[in-house]
Parts: sequence; C-alpha cells; structure tokens
Amino acid sequence: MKIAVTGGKGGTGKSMVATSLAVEFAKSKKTVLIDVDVECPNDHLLLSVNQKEFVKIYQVIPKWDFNKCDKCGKCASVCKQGAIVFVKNKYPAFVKDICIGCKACIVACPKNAISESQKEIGKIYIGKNYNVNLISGELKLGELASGEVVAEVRKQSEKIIKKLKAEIILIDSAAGIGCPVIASLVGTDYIVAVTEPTPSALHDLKRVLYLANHFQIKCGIVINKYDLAENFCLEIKKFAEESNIEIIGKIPYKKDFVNSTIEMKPVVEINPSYQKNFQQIINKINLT
Amino acid sequence: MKIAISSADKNINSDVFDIFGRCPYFIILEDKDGKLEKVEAVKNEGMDQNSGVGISAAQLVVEKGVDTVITGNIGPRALDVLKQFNVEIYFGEGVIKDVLQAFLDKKLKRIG
Repeated sequence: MKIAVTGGKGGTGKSMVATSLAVEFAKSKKTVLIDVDVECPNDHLLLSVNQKEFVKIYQVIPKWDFNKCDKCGKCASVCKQGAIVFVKNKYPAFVKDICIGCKACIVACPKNAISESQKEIGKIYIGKNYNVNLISGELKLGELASGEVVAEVRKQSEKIIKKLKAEIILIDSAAGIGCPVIASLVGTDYIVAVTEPTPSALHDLKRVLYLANHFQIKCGIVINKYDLAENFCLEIKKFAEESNIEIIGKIPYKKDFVNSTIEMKPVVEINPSYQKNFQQIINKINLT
Repeated sequence: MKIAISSADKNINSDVFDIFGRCPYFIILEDKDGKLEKVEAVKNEGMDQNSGVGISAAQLVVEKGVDTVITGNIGPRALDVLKQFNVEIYFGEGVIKDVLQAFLDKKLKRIG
C-alpha cells in the first residue's frame, strides 16, 4: 500500500506524522519511507538515519559538435526555456541550469550537430533506523527540476521496494501543491493530509485536497496541534463533513514533539503514549 | 576592439550602471588609434523583464559585435553566455569617462 503524506501548508507536521507512522507501521510490516521533499529533505534527521548515497539523478542536456553546426539558430528558436542564445554567424551559447532536458533542440537540428549529454540534478540516499527503510531524494542546489527529481526518486524506489518486498510505502511530500507535490501524490492509494487549526492551513488544505480529488485518491485529514485552537477545529470538521472526508486523527501540541525534533528521535520513542494516536490513524487507513 | 559599458544614461558623463542585465543603456565604443570613440548608446530593451535579463543583455551586446564588456555586478548566467561568445568582462564603477581611462591604463580588474 502506498500512502502519501501531504498537507499544503508548510510546518503543519507532515514529516513528523510521516516518520511516526513509518515507525509504527514498521512494528508489524515491512515499511519503506520515501522522503520526496527534495528541496529540504529532513526525515533522515528526524529518525537519526545514517544515510549513504545510493545513486545520482541526471537529466539530459544537449551537447554541440561545432564541426557539424552551420550556425542556423534553429536550436535556439525551438528552446522554450530560453536556454540557448543565438547570435547570427556565431555558434550558439548554452545556459545549462535553465535547460529542462526536453530535447527539442536535438530534434530540430538539421545537421545532427547536437547529441545527448547529461547533468546531475540530484541524489538519492538510503538508510535504515527504527526498522524503517528510508529513501531520501535531494535536489542539487541551483537546479530547478524538483518535480523530475521526485519522479526519479519514486522510480528508483520501486527497485528497492521490490527487493525488500515492502508492504507499506509512505511518501513524505513537500509543502505546496505544485509539480513536486503532484509527482508525490500520483499513483498512491491513500493521502494523509496533515493540517493544523489555523485559517492559512485550512486554506491550503482545501487546495491540496482538490488535487487528491482530481486524482481520485482516497484521503483522510490529520489535525496536528489540535489543542492550540479547538474552536477552529470545528471549521476543519465542517469542511471535512461537507467534502465527505474523514478526520482520521488528532494530535496534541506538546513539548515532546519539540524534543523529538531536537533529539532526532521519533516522538513515539520520546513518549510511548503517542503510539495510540498513530495506531488509530493506521487503523483508519487500513479500514479504507 | 569594441566595448559595451553598462550605463545609467546615454552619455559618457553618466555612471557605470552597477547591474549588467538591468542597466538602462549600453554605451558602445570602438577603439580608434588607441582612443575610445563612442559609437552609440543602445537602449537595454530587456531591463524590465522579470527574469533572464542577464542573458538578454548578453545577447544584445554580442549582436552589436562587442568583444569587451565593462560593468558592475554581473549574474552567473550572463557571465557564462558572454564567456561562451569569447567576450572579456571587466569591473568598473563611477563616471564612465574615468572608467574608460582606467581601462586604457589597464587598471580595471577582469571578472570571470
């Protein structure tokens, strides 16, 4: 079963919920946690995982053979990214970091002067702790293609999942609802939307659940820090009822959660009384 | 030699504009018997673009046949493009007239 953990707004506790669920799931099932918050991956820190590099992620970029190039400029005219600069009677200049690897220039070149080369856009790390197999994706600094890195991390993860015969695959997404989040949600069986009782979190929750609905993926809401504004939880409940989405868990705001982050240990280790909160969420997911 | 210098205005009594991609004008000069003569002041049409100003400006000066650029700060992409077109880049600040003299005296620092 593939379960995505998302939520829209940043800082609601997606990674805390994802890592805690992973630790609890791993007690009875072979569990893989994939951290696809590739711009700022943190799950290895929350679970004190000593990770090692698994593979590098590359993207295609063009390479010119100026012996064949006749300076026609067609490559630049088809580049939607503006990564190729053409000046009459000169060989084209190429701005590597803007290129998204669409290969239009290679197709357009009448002289076959452009071949495929590659640039590194990210890395995948693996590690294990608390019986959780962690796969973590990281975008190379200065690169733009976070969605592509997420997709590649998920593709590479399939091999590991097969090898381990993993039953539970948790996917910890980035905040937002853009390309990297979409790439995190596609092909999952269930979406855990982590929110908090604030107007901004509810606003963003609605947007991310619109996505879930678009992909027709079942979902449930987890209200983190619910005791900070119990009145506002009624607003979330109202929205949940209107949208026919179940609230599958509520988590209080306690110092244990701060300590968990500081000590780099899952909160269920810091204080085992939270196990029931996460087991309840697991039961609800299993029922669907 | 043909020089482009990023400028706040159209004449050489103006200051060097400190951002290559967002300068209002490029003053183009040509070397005539050891003296630099102004050819034209080119409006930097791309200066208000949201992004890619450096690349557009680099393209503009290369289209003018420039082989040397004098400017303040230049972004990594513009620098990359200019280098690929074999353009030399120098750092200059203050009144353009003085900066040009400093260039002729080989006192400007090369960038990149």
